[in-house]
Amino acid sequence: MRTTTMKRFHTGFATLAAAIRAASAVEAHRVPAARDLRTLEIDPETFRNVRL
Amino acid sequence: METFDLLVQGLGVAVLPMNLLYALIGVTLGTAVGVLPGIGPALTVALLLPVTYRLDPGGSLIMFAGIYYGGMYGGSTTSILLNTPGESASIVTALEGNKMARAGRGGPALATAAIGSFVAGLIATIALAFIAPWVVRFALAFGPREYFALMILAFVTVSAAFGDSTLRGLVSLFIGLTLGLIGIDMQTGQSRLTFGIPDLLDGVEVTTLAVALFAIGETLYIAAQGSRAPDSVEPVRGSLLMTAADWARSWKPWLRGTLIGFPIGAMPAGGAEIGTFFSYAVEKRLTRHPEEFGHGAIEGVAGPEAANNASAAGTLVPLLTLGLPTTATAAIMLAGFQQYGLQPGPLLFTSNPQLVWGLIASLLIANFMLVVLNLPMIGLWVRLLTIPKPWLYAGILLFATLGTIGANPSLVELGLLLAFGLMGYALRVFDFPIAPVVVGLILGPMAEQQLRRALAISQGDVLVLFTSPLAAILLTLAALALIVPTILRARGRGQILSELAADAD
Repeated sequence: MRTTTMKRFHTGFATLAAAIRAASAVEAHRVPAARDLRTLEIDPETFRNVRL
Repeated sequence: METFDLLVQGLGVAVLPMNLLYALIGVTLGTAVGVLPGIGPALTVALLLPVTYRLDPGGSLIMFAGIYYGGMYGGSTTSILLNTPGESASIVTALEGNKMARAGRGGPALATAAIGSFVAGLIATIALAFIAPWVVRFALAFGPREYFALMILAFVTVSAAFGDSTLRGLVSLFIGLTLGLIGIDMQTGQSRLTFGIPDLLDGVEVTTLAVALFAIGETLYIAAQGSRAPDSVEPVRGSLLMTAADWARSWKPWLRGTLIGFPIGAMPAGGAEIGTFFSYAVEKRLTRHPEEFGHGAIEGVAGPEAANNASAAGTLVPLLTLGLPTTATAAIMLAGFQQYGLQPGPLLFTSNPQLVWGLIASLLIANFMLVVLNLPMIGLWVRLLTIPKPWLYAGILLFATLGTIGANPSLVELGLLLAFGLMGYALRVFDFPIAPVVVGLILGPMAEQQLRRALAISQGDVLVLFTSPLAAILLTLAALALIVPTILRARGRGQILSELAADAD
């Protein structure tokens, strides 16, 4: 039970951190790192097709 | 109950014909700039600052807020129909929205984006109205040392915590802080960094810096990218109406998007983009149709679009209650308040309640206007994209220059505008964030004033900054916001290097 809660907390925190990094990249007109996109459940190939 | 009464009074101000007109101009301009790729609300509000300084303060601020809301609405149209986001906060919308348009479901995609934006804007604006008085009550207890600590926290979060590089963020911040030192020191009467130029005695105008960095610098940067293949618009086939299944799959993402976007918008350096990425990830994890993600899932449009509009309202909480800008657009809106001699913060709610509550109430009205403007007039907004880009960029440069010179006719001002514009371009080219420069210029002198007040009260004892529990907590948070991301980034780089090494093996 405690492990599941901790895992959820960790997943949530990792997703938020990836969202922050991805947002920072797109604001600077750059494609976010593939690792961050995968954490955000976004396929990096699909993202590259968006015309930033 | 008191908040409700104030909101009703605010509605009385917002429905005045002139204020309705300002709101309409704001949302129309906002939607237009949201549609046009490369031009965002920050640039537009910056451009309008010099030309609105003689207008009615309440009306101008209503217009600026309308531009902010409208920009969030308009950005989704080009994301869905062109796969080219008009706004960085609409990038995530393109992932599923454009796939829906290609599958002949552009209408429901545009509808869920517009209705989701409306729902989120409405809920978040009401949340703003009810949360703001609480924050104000809390902030009224702030003394100089608490304000100083709050500003240190804002400096760190805006510049160092959330960007790619702490060093780059801090460099941008210190450029702003240095610019903030220029002019006459209010306590001693000494001139600082003026180099004998009388025009600099009043300091650097925030509007000049904002127009230069956001209008001139951004335009030069986009123009320098060169021309790219013409955008092909995906025609809206079929009905704009959503089916019962679309409604059933959209309402929860709208609410979740609002819940995610609002607090993230209120967070220092939150910005609307973070909420949209987070919302997309949440929707993909919770959906009952995971197979549709990547091929046009409506939840992937509904959630992020609600998140970006809710975040715009969230941004206004720290801006109006504490005077803290958490995004670039908010920083420029703060400059807008200051050009009328108004200082956002707890005192504004007591000294100028009509203006604040009129502004909040007008956001509710702007939200209704945006739904009416966006859905039926999609064809008109898409036609905006046919404006030749060179005309657009040349127009922005001309408007920025004339506006600044019109407000402050001086050769020095023109020189500063051009120099800061080139600086903005260089900062973008070398990946330095822009917002910390403006935040440093705006909040730097205020932080200095609060620090000197606190030290004057304590007769120079620096420890006074840490003896107030609230100030100590804020300074600790600032230290954590500086240190933790640096460690996480270093660990992340280490992991990437390990992965690369493993790949090489």
